[in-house]
Amino acid sequence: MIDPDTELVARAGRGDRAAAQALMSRHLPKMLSVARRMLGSQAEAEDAVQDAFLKLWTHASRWRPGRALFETWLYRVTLNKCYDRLRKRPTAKLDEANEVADPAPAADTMLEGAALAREIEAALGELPERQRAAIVLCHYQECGNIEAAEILGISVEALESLLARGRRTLRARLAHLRDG
Amino acid sequence: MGRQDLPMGEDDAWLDRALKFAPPAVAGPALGARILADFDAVAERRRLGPAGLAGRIFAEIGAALWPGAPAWQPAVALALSLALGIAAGTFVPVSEASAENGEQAAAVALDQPPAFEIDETS
Repeated sequence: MIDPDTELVARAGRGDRAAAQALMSRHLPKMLSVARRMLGSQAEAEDAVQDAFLKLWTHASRWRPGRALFETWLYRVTLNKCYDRLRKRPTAKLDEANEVADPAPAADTMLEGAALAREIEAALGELPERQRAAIVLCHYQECGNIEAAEILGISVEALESLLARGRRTLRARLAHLRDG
Repeated sequence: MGRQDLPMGEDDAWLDRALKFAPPAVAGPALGARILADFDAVAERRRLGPAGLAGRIFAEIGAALWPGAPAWQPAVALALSLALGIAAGTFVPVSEASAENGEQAAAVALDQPPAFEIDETS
């Protein structure tokens, strides 16, 4: 298994800023996308991704290729940072999120893309963490099932189960968009 | 995508299309700068090593205590006061130090009632 990042990680571990910048350019958009969809907040997503990259910089000199692809490891770190933040959230914030996701908004509002985007985001935000992560990785990041299962540290069967349950919940949660 | 735009076909295809409407995440230049600043800080710490890091912390403490002075001045002041303290502790006899103080050390048994009365009016 050839990891395209191995050389860059080794150079970043030796203090090479250009290598660090190249790694960041390659992976920042994907990690931010995952964090944004996991957390539903751009500011929190940016903080989580910054934390994940900080962990990368501190561990880069000790990175040993071969066990997992670097990108898989970075996804895992980013998701863990997101889980940390989700668990620290006060309950009130979850209530606010639920308020945004009014199940029967006005029809004219629903026609607007921004409102629909909020609706989708709120529905994603209501999923349990692991189901959300599975949906985000497989749907938005376009990871294969094997890769997504490896990132989440579960079997492919468990991933498929998470995906099926997550999709079922989303279909039910968003049914009013389709049937209304 | 309004209701009329949503495909009415297979459930999964509909959900896939709907999910595409989640807001995108765009990394601003500020985030990149923050991440690279973290890299610079980590690289600097690694370059300095533990001894260099300790020296740097010492220099920062010196700058806080004695702003604007070169690092050797607070270092010399600290070293002199330390040397004086050690010299005093080593060479000044204990009896002399007690006599100069002019106070008698009193041993008090904590499990005995006090041998004096406290004047309640004072």
